[in-house]
Amino acid sequence: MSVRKSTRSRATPRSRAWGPGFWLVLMQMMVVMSCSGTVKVPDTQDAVPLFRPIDAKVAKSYAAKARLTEVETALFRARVGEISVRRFDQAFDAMFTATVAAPDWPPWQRVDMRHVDGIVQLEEAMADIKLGDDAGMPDFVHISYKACLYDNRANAVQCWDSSASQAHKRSVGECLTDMSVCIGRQLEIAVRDAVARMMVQVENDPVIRAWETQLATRETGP
Amino acid sequence: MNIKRAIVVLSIVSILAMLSPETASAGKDPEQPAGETIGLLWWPADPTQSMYSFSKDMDKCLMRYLLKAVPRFSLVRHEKIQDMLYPWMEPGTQPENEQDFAALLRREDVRLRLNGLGVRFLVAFSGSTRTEDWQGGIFCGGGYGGAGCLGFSWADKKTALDAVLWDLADIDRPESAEASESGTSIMPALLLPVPIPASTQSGACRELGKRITAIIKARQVEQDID
Repeated sequence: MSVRKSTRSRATPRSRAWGPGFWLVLMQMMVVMSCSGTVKVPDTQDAVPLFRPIDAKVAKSYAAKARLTEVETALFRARVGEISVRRFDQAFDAMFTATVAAPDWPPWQRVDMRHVDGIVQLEEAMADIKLGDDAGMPDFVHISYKACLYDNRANAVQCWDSSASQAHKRSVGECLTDMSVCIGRQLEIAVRDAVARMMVQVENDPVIRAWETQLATRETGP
Repeated sequence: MNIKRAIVVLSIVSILAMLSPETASAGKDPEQPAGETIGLLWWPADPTQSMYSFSKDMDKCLMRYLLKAVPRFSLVRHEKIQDMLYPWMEPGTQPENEQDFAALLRREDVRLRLNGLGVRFLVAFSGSTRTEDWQGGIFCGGGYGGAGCLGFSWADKKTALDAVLWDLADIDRPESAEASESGTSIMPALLLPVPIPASTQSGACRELGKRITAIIKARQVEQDID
């Protein structure tokens, strides 16, 4: 009999832990989690992108205007610059036979860059995020990029623009627990698409292939 | 205590649900190329289909069907193939037609990538589900004594799927397959409206799976005769 009593008395504090206060705090935490934070997007993909590489050694550079791009909404912040730099880093590695990082400071335009054939720079990364609602208005993400290739004397060889959009109509309760995950997925699709569009443009660009031939001639010439 | 138990049980159920059903049913890792492989690819990807939810459902369903129908093949799902062929299978860069698709498959780097996965057949599937406007009517009302609805509504639903099957051993002979399924979603309302959606996607998927299986088996017979 006494054993039973003691068992009951131990159970009481445990059950209190799951009382209304606990659920209230849990709900508040869920609301806070869904309405704050930074949008997370997978860093890169597993496979190296398919690209007929340009036979050149280039330095990769990311202009502050592109690197530091951020979009802030009432609910979260999306570090579009960071996401884009990681994606472009992988793309540039696939696009050229050899890549190195351009110096952070002083800017590469002010230093001797003759140890490389050129500099590829992500000039701009722009993003627009418009939040929809659960009543049918879709969430909208738009991404646009500008990248340029320079020779080692800082003359522009060619520039490219690319952009992509994604609109998503939420189903009921879909983005309730974490809005930033929903937008993160959309952002990922748009970033992937925009980077892919640029890669395809570059691969088919006759100006770049002419530059590549010019480099090869210079190296094999007298 | 009961709540705790319920949470533990729910967690276990969720984890089991997250494991892909095909892994469980087939007893092998479908993503692991062992011998010959069938690759699934959503093409042409419809960029207006946000978040690709339809393609994900179809991918899962076809995978489940083909694992049972042609068990000697491993399967590689859409996302993996799309990643391996990046940047060529994104909404803005994907081939516009079968000729362009064939040209892409002839690229040496693409062939090497697909060979690395052991892909023999590539199933490029596409489709959509269309639901017509709701017919009939439901009337709801309320007062001090309570509230409720009364009526009956229905809507026709149709899922149409198509696929092009590429045999990487014979790129010049792609084969097409189509399947569709119609149904009617109903919503009776007696106090509360209860929607009962028509499941057209799984029926269409099964039918498409059957046709793809037939093509693959025919190709294998041809190969054996040769």
